[in-house]
Amino acid sequence: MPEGKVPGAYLGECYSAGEEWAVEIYNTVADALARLLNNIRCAYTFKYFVYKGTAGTDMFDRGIGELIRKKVRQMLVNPKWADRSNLKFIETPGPNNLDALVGAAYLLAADLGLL
Amino acid sequence: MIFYFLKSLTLQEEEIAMAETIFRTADVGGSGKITRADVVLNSVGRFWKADNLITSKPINSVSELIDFTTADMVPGILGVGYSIAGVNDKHNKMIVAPNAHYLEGHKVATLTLAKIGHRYKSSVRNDMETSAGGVHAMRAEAGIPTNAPFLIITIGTGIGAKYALLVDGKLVILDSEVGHMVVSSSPFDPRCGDLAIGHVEGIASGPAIDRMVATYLLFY
Ligand SMILES: [Zn+2]
Repeated sequence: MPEGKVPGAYLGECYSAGEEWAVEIYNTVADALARLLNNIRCAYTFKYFVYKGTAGTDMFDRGIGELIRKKVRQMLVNPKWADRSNLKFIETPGPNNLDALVGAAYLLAADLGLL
Repeated sequence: MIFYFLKSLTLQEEEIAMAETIFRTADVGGSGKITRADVVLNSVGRFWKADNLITSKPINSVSELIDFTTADMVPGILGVGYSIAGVNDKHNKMIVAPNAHYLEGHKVATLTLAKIGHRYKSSVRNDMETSAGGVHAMRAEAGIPTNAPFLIITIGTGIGAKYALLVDGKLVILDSEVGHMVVSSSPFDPRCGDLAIGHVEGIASGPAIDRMVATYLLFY
């Protein structure tokens, strides 16, 4: 690994360059996330899968979403739930954890009975 | 912030015309730094704008946190809301705070009101709860229809998720510990932080991926 590189960022570059070891790691991670998604989707109905976090955002930017979709399709009791129209991967809106800052305001407003 | 301001113009006109509410909020991040903002919501709780977004230097005590969070309060602020990873009691006392151990045992909301006065309100919320609340308030920006349930997942130092849905028009965020769901049954899987084998956090979180990269690079 080049000096000064962060492992996750280096992995991403090597995955995008099609390096075998990086593709293997992406497959392992996608498999784990597909199983997680399958487990949750078995209990609750949703189309919108909103992701955040440095590691996750980098992998979704590099297309791990479609890998997850392919894998979870084989796990779900109804494969149609993995169709693009039924499962949408969305990055959380805003920089600087804006979602958390806005949510703290929203939940306080709800506590105050303003909503 | 201009971008979000413009985006919020896509909301229906009557929503914009209604009264706004302002809250000072603070996010306690993994770096030890705190980001604060003045978040303006419209009367139906939709995100309107975030002003005065500022990030602190690393902070090491509850009094520093409160001083930074409540500095330069603008007129009209109704309350102070915190977003802090971990476990809290009654939206006030921090029980476990992995990003800010100095907060453990402290009633952060009570201490905040002791400083700024009881005309305000204050509460402490788990960071995934606030993220879910924020995505709900920013549905227009995220592209999520008004009543659609959603899952929000963080893939970072750990893995956490919340399922959010509307019940009688009210947002309900279900509690969960999905990071510790078993997603693999291989005995060769790495261990999670809690030492269990096969947990998703032990395989797909940032640190788990870093360890995998280090291991693979030994052999390639
Ligand atoms: Zn675990």
